[in-house]
Amino acid sequence: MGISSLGLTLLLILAIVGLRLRLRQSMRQEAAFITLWRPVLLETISEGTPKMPGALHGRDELYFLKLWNYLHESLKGPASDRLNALARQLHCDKTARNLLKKGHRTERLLALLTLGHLRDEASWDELALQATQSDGLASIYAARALVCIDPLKGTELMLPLMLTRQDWDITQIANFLGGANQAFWLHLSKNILQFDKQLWTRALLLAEALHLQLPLPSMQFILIHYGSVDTLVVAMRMASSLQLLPAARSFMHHPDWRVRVEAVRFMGQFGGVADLPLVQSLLQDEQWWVRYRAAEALADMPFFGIGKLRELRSQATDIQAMAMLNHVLAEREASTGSGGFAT
Amino acid sequence: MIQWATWFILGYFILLNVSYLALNLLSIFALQRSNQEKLLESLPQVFTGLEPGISLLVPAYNEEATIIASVRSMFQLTYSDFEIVVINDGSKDNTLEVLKREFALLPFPEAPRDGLVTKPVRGTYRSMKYPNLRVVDKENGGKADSLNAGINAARHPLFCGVDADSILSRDSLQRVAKPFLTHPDMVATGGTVRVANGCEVTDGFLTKVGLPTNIWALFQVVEYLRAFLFGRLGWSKINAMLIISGAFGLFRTDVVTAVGGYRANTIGEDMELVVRIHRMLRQQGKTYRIEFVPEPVCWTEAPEDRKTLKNQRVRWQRGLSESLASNLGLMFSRKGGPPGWLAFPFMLLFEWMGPLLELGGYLFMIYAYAFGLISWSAFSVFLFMAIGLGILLSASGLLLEEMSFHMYPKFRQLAILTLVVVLENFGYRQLNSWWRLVGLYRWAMQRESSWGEMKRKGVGQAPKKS
Repeated sequence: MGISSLGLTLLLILAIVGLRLRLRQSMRQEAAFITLWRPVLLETISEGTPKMPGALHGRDELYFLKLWNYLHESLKGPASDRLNALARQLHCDKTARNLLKKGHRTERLLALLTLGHLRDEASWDELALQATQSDGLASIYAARALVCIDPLKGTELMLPLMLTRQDWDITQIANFLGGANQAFWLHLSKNILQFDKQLWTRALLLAEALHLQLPLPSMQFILIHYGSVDTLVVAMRMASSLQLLPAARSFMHHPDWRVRVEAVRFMGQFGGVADLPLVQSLLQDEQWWVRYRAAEALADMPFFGIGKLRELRSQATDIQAMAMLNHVLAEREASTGSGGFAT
Repeated sequence: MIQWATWFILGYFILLNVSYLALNLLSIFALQRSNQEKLLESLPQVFTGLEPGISLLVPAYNEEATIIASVRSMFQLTYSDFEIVVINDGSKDNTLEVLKREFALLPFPEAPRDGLVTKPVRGTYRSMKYPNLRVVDKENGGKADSLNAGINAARHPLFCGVDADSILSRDSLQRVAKPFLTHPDMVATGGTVRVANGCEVTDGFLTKVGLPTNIWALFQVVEYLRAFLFGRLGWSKINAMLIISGAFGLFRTDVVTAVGGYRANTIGEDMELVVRIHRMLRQQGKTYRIEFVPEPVCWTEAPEDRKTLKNQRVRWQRGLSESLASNLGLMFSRKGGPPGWLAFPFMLLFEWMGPLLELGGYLFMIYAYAFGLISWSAFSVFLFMAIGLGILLSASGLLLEEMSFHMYPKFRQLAILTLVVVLENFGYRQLNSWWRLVGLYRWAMQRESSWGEMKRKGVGQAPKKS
C-alpha cells in the first residue's frame, strides 16, 4: 500500500513536471511566432505592405488566430478589412471552418471568434446551428459571429435567443450588439410586443445599454401590460417622454419601492407643479431610496430647485424627510463647488 | 475492542481521503472547462453599464499604517461602477485622521438608513477628491459589526467585503462579478485567496509572484492551494460551498440584509453568513447559487511565526464551530440539498471533529503498535491513509495549480513546492490538528470574540518591494 501511495505521488509529480515542460515549450514557440508575425499584422493594419515570412505552418495556425483575433477586437472599418484579406490569403477561413467542425472546445471558440471577424458567410448555417447548442459560451460566440456577418439578418435570427437564454451574459450581448444597434432597434421595436411578457425585461435592459429609445406606443403598452415588476422598473427608468407622465403618476404609490424610485425620478424630469404634493409625500416613504429620489426630484424640478428645497427643510416636521433634505442639499451644494458639505 | 477501534480509525481516514479525492475530481473537471475559456479572457474587455454596481466594504481597526495604500490600490480596480466604503471601527490609532488628510474627507449629513443593527455610527465622511469614497466612523463592535454598518451604507446591489490588508488583482471585481451576469439567481461568489509572502507588491498591487523563504509561510502556500483549488471549487460545482473567505467575497446586498447580515458575536462571521444563507434560502424554497471563482483574485499575508499562526488556526476552528453550531438546522433538513446532506456533514465530521479524530487516531495507533496490540500491516495501512494520501492530496493541489494558473513560473519554485508538499505531512499538518483541537476546546469554553490581532510584516503596504 505504501508503495502504491508513493507511486501515485511520483506519478502526480511527473505529471506536474510534464505540464510545466509542455507549457514552457509552447510559450517559447508562441514567443517566436509573435516575433515573426506581429510586425506583419501591425503593418497590415497600418496600410503598409508587409514582408511575409512565408506560409503559415500548421502548428502556428492557432497562434496566428489568437493574435489576429486579439488585434481584431479593437478594430473596425478598413483596418479590419485588411486583416481579413490577410487571413483569407493565409487560408485561415478554411482553418477556422475545420476547427469549428472538428476542433476541441478551445479551438471551436477560437473558430467562432475568427469566423465572425472574417464575416464568413459560408459558415452561416453551421454558426446558426452552434448558436442553439447548450454550451452557453460557444453558443453566444456563434450568435456574435452571425451578427458580425450580417447585422440585420443575424439580429433577427438571434433576437429570440438573446432574450430567452439566461446563460448568455447580457453584457456580452450588449457588447456585440454595439456594432449592430440600428438593426437591433429595428427588430426590437417591430417585435417586442409580440414577445412573451417575461422577455420584456431583458429586451429593455439591452435597449437601455445601447441607449435606444423604443417607440412611444410600445412604451405605453409595456407600462400598462407589464408582466413583472422588473419589467416595470426598467421601463420606468427608460421612460423619457412627457406623454408617459400619467403612467408615472399612477406608479407613485406602487407597492414595490423600486417602481416608486423610478416614478419619482421621472417626476423630477417631467413632473409639473400639480405633482409637487405627490413628490413631497414620498419624502416620508418607508424606503430610503424613495425618499432620496424624491428629494432629488424636487431639487431637479426647474420651478422648485435648491432655494425652495431649503425652505421645505426649514418647515419639515418629519425627521426622516428632514434628514433626507439635508443629505440632498449637502450633495447639491458640494457639486456646485461651495467648498464643503453643509452639515 | 482494539480491533473495533482500529477499524473505526482506518474507516475514518479512508472516508476522509475518498471525500477529498471526489472533490479533487470535481475540481479537475471545473478547471478544465475554465481553462478552455481562458483564450476569451485575454481579449480586450468593454463595460456596457449593465454590470451590477459593487460597494467595496473595507472594515478598518487600527490600520493607520496600511489603510491609505489599500484604498489607493482599490481605486485602480477595473470595474464599471463601484464605490469604496471604509468603516472605521472605533480605531484607537489615527486611522480616521490619516484617511481624512489623504482623501480630503469632510463630514457629510448622510440620511440614516433602517437596516442591520450595529453599534452607533458617529459620523459619515465623503471625499472631496473621490466621489466614490465614503468613510463610516462608528463605535468599536468588531469586524462583523463593521461589515453590517458598511452594508447599511452600501449604495449598490452587490457588496464585497475586503480586508484592509488584502492585495487585490486589478480585475478581481470583474472576475467575481461575472457569475452574477449569467445566473440571475446568484447570491454570492468568492475567489481564490493566495499567500502574498515572498511576492513583490508595488502601489498596492502584486507585481511579481514569488515564494516566501519562511517555512511556516511556505507550508501555507501549499495549504491554500489545497483548500481553495479543490476544496472550495469542488463544493462549488454542486452548489454546496459553505465558506467564502472574509478576505474577499461578493454578495447580494438585499439577500444578506434579508438574512440579518453578519452575526456580530462570532469569530467566523464569513463562514457563518454563507452557511446561514444556505439554510435560510433553502428553508424558504428559493433557488439560488453560490459560486467559487478559481482565478487568484486576492493575496493575503500569511503568519510567519508559530505563535501567530497558532492563534489564527485556533480562531478559525472556533469560527467553524460557531458557524456549524448555529446552523445545525441545515444538516439533513428536508430541503437541505447538497449543502445540508453533503457539505455540512462533511464539515462536521472532517473539519469540526477532524482534529479530535485525527490526533486521537495517531495517538491510539502509535500506542497500539508500540504495545503490540496491532500488527505492522495495520499500522502501515494507517500511515498510508494518514500520511501517504495526505501527500497525494497536496500534490494534486499543486497539479491543479499547474494545470490552470502556473503562478510560480520558475522550476526552482516548483521544486520547492514539491518538497513542501511532502514535508508538510510530517509534523505541520499534525501540529495544525493540535491547534484546531485547542480551538475546539476554547469554543466549548465559550470565550468572547474580538478582532484578530496578527503580527504582520506588511507585504501590501505602501509602494515598496518586500
